[in-house]
Amino acid sequence: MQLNQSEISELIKDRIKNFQGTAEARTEGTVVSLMDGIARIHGLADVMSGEMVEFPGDTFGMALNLERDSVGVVILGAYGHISEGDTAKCTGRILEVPVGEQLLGRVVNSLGQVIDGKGAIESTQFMPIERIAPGVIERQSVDQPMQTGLKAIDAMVPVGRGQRELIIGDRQTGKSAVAIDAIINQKGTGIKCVYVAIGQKASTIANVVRKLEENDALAHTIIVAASASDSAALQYIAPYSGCTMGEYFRDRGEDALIVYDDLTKQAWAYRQVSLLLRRPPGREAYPGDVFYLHSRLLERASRINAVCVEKYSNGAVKGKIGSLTALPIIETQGGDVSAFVPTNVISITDGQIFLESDLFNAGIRPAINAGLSVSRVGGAAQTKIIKKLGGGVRLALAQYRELAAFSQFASDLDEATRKQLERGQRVTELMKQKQYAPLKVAEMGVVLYAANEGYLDDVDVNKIVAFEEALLAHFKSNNTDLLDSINESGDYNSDIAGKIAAAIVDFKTNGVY
Amino acid sequence: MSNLETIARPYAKAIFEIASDEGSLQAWLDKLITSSLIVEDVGMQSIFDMPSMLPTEYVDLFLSVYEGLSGEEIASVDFKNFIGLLAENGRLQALSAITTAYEVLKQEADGRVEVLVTSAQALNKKQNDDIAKSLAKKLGKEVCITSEVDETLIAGAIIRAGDLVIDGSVLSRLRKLSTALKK
Repeated sequence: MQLNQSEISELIKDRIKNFQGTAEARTEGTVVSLMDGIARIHGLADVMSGEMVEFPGDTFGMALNLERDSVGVVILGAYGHISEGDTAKCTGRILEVPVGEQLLGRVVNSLGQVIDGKGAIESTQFMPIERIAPGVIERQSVDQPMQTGLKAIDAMVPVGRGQRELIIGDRQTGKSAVAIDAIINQKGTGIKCVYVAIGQKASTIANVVRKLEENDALAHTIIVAASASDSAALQYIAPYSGCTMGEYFRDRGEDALIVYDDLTKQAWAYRQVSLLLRRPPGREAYPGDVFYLHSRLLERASRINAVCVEKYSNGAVKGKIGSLTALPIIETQGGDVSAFVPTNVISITDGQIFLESDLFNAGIRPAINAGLSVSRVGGAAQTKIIKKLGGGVRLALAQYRELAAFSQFASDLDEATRKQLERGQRVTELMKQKQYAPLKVAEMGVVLYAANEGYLDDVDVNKIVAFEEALLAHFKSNNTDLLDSINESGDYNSDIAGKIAAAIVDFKTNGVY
Repeated sequence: MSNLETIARPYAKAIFEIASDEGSLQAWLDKLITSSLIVEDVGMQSIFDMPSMLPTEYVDLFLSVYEGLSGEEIASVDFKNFIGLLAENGRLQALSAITTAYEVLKQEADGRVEVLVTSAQALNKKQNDDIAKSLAKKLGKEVCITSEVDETLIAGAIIRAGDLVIDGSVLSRLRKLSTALKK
């Protein structure tokens, strides 16, 4: 591309015109010591907790420890050029990041700076990364579904808009995959997504970005990346930055989804920062406020009423309800959910999706443990059709688990038990789903209906997956109107049930799988 | 640096309270300044570092040096005790920090503040008075100005009062402009 000379000088002229070169009054201090990204500063009498502190070379830090004679500042980014005796200035501003629609489709770091090489973001709005969560009066109860597109989740552990649903499991159990599928499924729904990657390999993050791009889901997503090579301070603040970017949409009466991948690593980063700041260690060497670390973050995911939206948007948006749904991810070690951070986050969130390596290795993917996974508020938010049909699945699986353990000892079983076992096997098989292939409500409804009404009972267990695929293909080519009408309303009544039943019978007689 | 200050603060506060009860704030300040000069002296430092000396010996030595330096007999028992206490606690090194902390307390009590004005050109009488007047209004205290000339500022001035810095120099504006353009 040819550079336009006048354009550049225009740009510079603009910058010079807008440059505010007035005399500034500020508080200064001197760097007394600097180690491991933590600077101790003497002076800075008026510094606020969480305030940005400016170092030479356009480097910023965040004041965390305000002590009698010194201030502990954690430096955000590289600190090689700062030395003892340098001056540090107060900026009078709490750490803030750019927010807005312009960030969608972009990859930014914890400070909101672009790192995808697609050019600068023209953002005019900034919001502090630490904000107080909406109060009791400002909230609205969760009653709208946030479809993840995964049968197992939407049928058994539904997530509502404004809910916090934890995804927990060992490494390599498909935690991120569930979250990515949920993001992909928001395509075309108007739900804006934020994916916060904390302490992951840069190559993994690049893969996620590529997958989202391939599935046409990057356009409605902001990626906040604090990779493993970034400083602990940046990894610590990344979720708050991402949350602020998500709150922007919530406060404008829109719906947003945020994924924190993962909070275990953020707790590790915070532990490192705290120990370097010489805060006393507690259980597992985490500082005393590690519960507050996650609770204040997850409380910000909420559904707020129209009055609150009007207040936050300064009257620009009226009569709209906003929500921010959070899917925090926690990695356990050897399936131990009773460790410190997992128990904390389990108690904070409105339910959890529990993924197990045994199930994963047995080929059940997503490897959701239906017994331990719960959703405390999502039931109220399910669409009618999924609610009606999903209940049977949950029950069938629960009975199946009980019987499966028991039937290992029995040689011959009565007819009813055998039937239940077979139903359970088929439902387990049916809950399997490929990655990057989220289903719409109607498709899910059809599959669940087939399972509930026993249409699968005469299908071989090994052929369930193929049957499902062929059935959905049949519906898509022959019953588009029915699918569309269900997708639109989410209703379920005898008329719809009859139509679905007729189509399934038609498929079973004429279709091939 | 900050460690010594933490140690110095309670000592300075104690002396300040004694001095203000006695009404001898300035006299104590003079004593402290002289004492810190002695402690900072390189020759004295090597003596203080000797492990064989007892605290009482330090005190005697210190007081005799003090008397020699100031040319007057030490009348105040409080001062002798103060030096004795410092020696006993092994805190004679903190004397200059104590002096600084004491000075701050004294200035606060006097409602005065030391201000350093660094300007590109030497200030005339009127400019000096104007700065003093507006600063006194801003800080709510009597201002005691020390001025300094630094030609690298190009034009304008930097005013420092404790941690507060008011920067109106052309140099810093140019620096800011250069970072704004680089962004």
